[in-house]
Amino acid sequence: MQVREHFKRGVSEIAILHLLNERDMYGYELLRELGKRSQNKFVLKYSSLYPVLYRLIDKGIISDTQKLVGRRRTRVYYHITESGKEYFEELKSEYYFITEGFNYLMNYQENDNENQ
Amino acid sequence: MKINNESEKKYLRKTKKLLIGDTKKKSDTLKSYQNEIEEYLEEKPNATYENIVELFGSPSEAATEAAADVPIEYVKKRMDFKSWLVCGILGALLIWGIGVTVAVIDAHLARPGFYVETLEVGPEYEGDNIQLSTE
Repeated sequence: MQVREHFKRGVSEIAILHLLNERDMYGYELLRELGKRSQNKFVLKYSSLYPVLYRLIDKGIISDTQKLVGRRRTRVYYHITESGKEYFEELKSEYYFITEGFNYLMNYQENDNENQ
Repeated sequence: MKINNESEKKYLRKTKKLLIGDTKKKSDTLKSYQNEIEEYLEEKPNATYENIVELFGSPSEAATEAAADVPIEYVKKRMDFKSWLVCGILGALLIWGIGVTVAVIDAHLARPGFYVETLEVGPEYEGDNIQLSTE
């Protein structure tokens, strides 16, 4: 569903930073955790995840570290930086602010307003 | 790094064809996809090409999403270059076409018997009543 994809895109940064705020993770692990923790309701494709990670690295919000796994495979772990943690807190407050306002908007009734 | 899985190889090959941006950005993107696909294949070794597309997006989606971060200056430069290239090829074709046409007309005119500009009559025929026939 196109609309769902738009909504997901809007909040994917928060979702990714939420996971990375807990511990460092690699790309596939992020995809897996997003699906698992949201009961498969917030499933991202790597094609949507990659540009977000790339942008966050570019802004210095997260960093990436390569680790050798086994003999030849490289795993790239993403790590939230100190400035990234601050950014995440700001992003969360903005999100709650907007959703709170949106809830008021959706549940607004004329009588409520007159009583206040 | 050598790619052993055929589905992975097919996916990366198709994605590579569609990616735009500078060489480093393209190679970083492909490397990132390769790393994560290999993580996935480690867990699901029998995954098909369709399974990979389901989790990683189609090659077209992958390239489109990656292109979102390509600076507009780069895209414009590339488009300008393409326009110049197309104009150059069309110009070359036009010049070649004119050249060929001129050469064909020239060769046609030069064919013996086709075109007679002057006719000289030798001294032995002087005084004879020579009549030219077009047949």
